[in-house]
Amino acid sequence: MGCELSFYFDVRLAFSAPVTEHNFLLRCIPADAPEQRILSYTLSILPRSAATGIGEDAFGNRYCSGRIESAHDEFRYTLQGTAYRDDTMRSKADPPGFYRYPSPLTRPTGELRAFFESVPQGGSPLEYAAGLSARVHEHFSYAPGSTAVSTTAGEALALSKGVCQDYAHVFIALCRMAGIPARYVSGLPVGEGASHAWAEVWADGLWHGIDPTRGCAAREGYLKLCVGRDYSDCPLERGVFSGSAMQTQAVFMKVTDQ
Amino acid sequence: MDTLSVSKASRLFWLGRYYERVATTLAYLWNWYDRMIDGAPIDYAGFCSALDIDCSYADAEAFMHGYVFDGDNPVSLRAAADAMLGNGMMLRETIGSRTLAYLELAVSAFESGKDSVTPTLPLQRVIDCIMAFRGSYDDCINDENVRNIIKCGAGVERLSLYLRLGWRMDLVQPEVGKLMKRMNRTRLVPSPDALRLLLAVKASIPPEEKASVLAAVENLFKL
Amino acid sequence: MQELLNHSNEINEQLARYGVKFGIYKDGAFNERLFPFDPIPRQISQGDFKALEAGLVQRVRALNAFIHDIYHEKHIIRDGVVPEEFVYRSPGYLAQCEGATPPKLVYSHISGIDLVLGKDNEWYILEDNLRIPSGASYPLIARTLCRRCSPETFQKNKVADNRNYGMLLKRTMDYVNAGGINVVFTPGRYNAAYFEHSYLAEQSGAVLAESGDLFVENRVLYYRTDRDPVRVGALYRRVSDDYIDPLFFEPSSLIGIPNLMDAYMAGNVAVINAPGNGVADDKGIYYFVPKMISYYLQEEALLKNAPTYLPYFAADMSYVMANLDHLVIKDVAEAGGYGVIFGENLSLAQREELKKAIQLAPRRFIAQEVVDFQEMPVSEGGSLVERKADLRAFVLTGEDVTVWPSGLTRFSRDPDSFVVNSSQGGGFKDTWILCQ
Repeated sequence: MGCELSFYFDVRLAFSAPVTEHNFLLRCIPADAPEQRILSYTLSILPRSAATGIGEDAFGNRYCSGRIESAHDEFRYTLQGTAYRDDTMRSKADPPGFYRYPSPLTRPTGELRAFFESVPQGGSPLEYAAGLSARVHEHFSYAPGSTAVSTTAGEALALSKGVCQDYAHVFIALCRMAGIPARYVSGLPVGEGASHAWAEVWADGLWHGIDPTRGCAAREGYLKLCVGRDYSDCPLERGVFSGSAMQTQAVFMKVTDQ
Repeated sequence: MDTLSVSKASRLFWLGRYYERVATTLAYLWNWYDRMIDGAPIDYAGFCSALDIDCSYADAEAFMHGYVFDGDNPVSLRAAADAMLGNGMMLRETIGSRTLAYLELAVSAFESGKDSVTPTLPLQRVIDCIMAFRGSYDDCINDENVRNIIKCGAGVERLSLYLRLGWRMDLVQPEVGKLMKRMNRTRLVPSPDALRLLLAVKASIPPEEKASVLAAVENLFKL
Repeated sequence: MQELLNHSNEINEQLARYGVKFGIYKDGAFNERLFPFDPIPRQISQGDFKALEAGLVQRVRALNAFIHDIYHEKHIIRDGVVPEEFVYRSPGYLAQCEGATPPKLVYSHISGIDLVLGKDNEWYILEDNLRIPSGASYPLIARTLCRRCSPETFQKNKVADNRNYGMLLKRTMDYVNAGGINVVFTPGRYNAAYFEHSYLAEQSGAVLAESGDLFVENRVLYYRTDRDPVRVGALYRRVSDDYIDPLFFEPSSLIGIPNLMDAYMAGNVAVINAPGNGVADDKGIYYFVPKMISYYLQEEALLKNAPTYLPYFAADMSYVMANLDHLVIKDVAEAGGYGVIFGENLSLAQREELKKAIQLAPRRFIAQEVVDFQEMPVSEGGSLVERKADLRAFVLTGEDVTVWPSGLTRFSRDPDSFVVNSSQGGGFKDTWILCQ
């Protein structure tokens, strides 16, 4: 069953002192795919800059690159629009080979291997993956602040706690050990609050969304913004600037199912 | 290409300042070497205080070694020569390998004088190489802007040393005149306040105005 | 050669005059040293060079085709010639470069192919360097200075002129230039090869720039000047892939250009060499180069690899297990690995340990026969000694593939060492291609 999602995503970065020559890369333009048709969207960036471009990266994400030369102490981007999600419209394709191999944040460690071996194999690849997700969901506790964006799957497993990114990394690492292609997804599920991360696994010619943080499938209620081998391929926002300033971030998002 | 990056402009300017620092300071110290043969005192403490640098030298001998030859001493002339070469190396494709070679030779000459009992002989070679460098860049660099930014650096450094040391004060006004001519052949944008003050410099500068003229010289270009 | 030897002192003075140095980090401090030069050149006859040239051109063509294929259709994987593991697990493979197509489809503009001459008088390829091969500037300037110090040597010996390297480099940059100036992009003065960066910029008429001089706006790379920014069409970067763009790669890089990859993927600038080339000069991939040559070019490889075995293949595994004592084992994993091990130097226990490691992770290792290569005379304190030496040939790819008629001959100064690296105290020689 398809559904129409209306989305709003607003991020404000506040700098403790003015910064200049701010170069940024936003990977928050939702992909227009058969299962996720973008009916309309706007991405507005403040301070306004004429120096932006739209491109597509190696993982198929559309991004906005840009540069703000003059001094500013706040950077804000706001995405809004509507999309039509219908997983029955997915088209079959082979996954890129790199989704089968370890990536910088999902390299196997001894602990990951042992954890992997504790999960019983069996069933179809999709069932097997669902079992791995359930195991991660049950083993981990959700604890914001215990990990960072650079935390690897191995490190997160050693802590047995983390945020959605860590759940996704451990799950993806396990899937790849099992020979199931898997990728990281950043996006916005129906609801309000912060952005979310989950994973997709490939089986029978199709990508299937699985959310190990919530312990459920990630289907029509999830708006996909970008994908990659792991977080490091597809952070929603990355920037470098000149000036020494502390950065604080305020995120708000809201997705409704119409 | 008749454009120049901002970082290159800065390096050209500092290249000029550093070679002039080496050349002019050696000229100032030259007869100190002669006086020391007879054991006559040299006012190195006054020199350090005029240049506003640290003066932790045990005696005149230690000063002449540590200030002139010790590359690990960041305010030494040797360190200035290294900075001169460092800036030059980053400008190789702008000034040319042939011209840059004179800076390499100057630093080698400096190095060879470190433990010499006749320090003025290698130092003479240092000065010779810097003079050859000046001739070479003036001759080989076609871009007037490039050439004159180096000269502006040298002019600023020379004025700065004259004013700090209170030496050759009669030459300050003519040197300002030369600097203005060179500046007008570049695309450097001077500080308007500093420029106004320098244009008003008289042939003889009253002692109470020395500090403000020096500040204007140092602040003329933001590079 | 006696004349050149007689002029050693003058030659060394000239090298110092032109600051022919390379940098070394030792105990946390940066030092620049003169790169020791031995005046006795390596000489290659015209006939030998022609053969070498044909083999190098062929190899570089195949490597270029391979890189393109890997980042696009991957025919060579699908057809089972190269197992996909060797690609996707290679540290040089960059998924971020998938689908990126460089101007004029050139990936390895400047290839440095390392060879040794065996006692059987055959050349053997040691490795391919397709990322940032350095060293051309040294024989280039050495030739100029040797001619000055010993003109009679060059009157007697007819040697192909190698001083066209700057022109060849410029031609390559011009060919792929996507509109704008040519820039040599250096990580800065405290890089080991800074002399080379500045010298090649001068010789090729390019602008030398650091990260602060360059920026990307609207997917176009610009050089910042005291007037309007100037567009850059070709960037000969001497910064490694990881550090080239903090927004696409290593975020902590301070020496990169933010969004350079964006400008590159938009086709607005040629990046020389292309990012992602490391997939083709990987130690594991080396084994497959002769296969690439027959796969892409339908030709037999003209130059030999050192005989190599991949324990990944069962037959090779049994050979390696049985012959470990006379093989060289190379660990393909870049960081924290075993490095290069000579089987004959291992104790029985160490040998068994290595065997286990290989059986546990066969793909991580390659094994090679020790090539018995010719030594070269090197003058040392007035007398001649024999030392191990290799040759780095430079192959430039633009409209056509050209082998520079010279090369960097590096020698080990330690009589027992095979390591000819400049950072390990080795020295260099000029390489003469004789006109007859």
